[in-house]
Amino acid sequence: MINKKSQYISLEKSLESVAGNAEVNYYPEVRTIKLSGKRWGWVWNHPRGIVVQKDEHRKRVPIIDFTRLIQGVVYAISFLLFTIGAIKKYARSGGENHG
Amino acid sequence: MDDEYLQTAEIHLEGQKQALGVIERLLDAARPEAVFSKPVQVGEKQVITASEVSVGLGFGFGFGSGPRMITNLDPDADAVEEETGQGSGGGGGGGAGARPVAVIAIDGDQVSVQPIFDFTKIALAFITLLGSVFFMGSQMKKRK
Repeated sequence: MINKKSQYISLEKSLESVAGNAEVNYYPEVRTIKLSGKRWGWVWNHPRGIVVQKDEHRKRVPIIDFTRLIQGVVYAISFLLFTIGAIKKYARSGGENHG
Repeated sequence: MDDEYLQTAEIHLEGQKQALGVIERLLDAARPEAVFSKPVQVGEKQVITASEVSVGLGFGFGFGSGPRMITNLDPDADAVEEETGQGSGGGGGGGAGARPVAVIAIDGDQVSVQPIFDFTKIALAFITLLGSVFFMGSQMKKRK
């Protein structure tokens, strides 16, 4: 719960088999994040992996979102460098903020 | 005037109900089942596309009433007449998006996942990094 008016739901869901035959079945996994309020809503669904079931053996093949991964790392480095630059600027001004 | 006010309130509530219905339907469209496409047969293999699906939206409504003063120009009549007025308004916005994340190829009991790179998103992230590098570099070079 975020506040009294909104709710946060995060779940990992295995869907029904998407392909396969009598011997092998494939179950995709999805991560869902749902935020909703009285007058707004936001839903984010992301693939997590695919489970291969053959007889009683289950094998999970993960789906890695490389775009999101690279994006996250690059933005984190950018934020770090910007923070270092801002600290340098603040320290040089003697702790006074001149805008 | 009270009847008019109640009528406005009723219209407002009806609009709010309709907007809530639209929100529920749109959020249902972003169901988890929409992430994986239906399998397509390509030669011996079955191909499935996995995508990231997101939907976000919101709306706002408001209504109110209040006194409105009208100056009467007739010198014999009362100087000021009082009336009440009411109004309502609303607005909303939202967006939906889907981005392919990977292609899954199924061949018998063999599964291979091929990632899909979104070079535009990666390039934009690197442009931001470049800006941060220049900013930090310029601060390092400067002397007090």
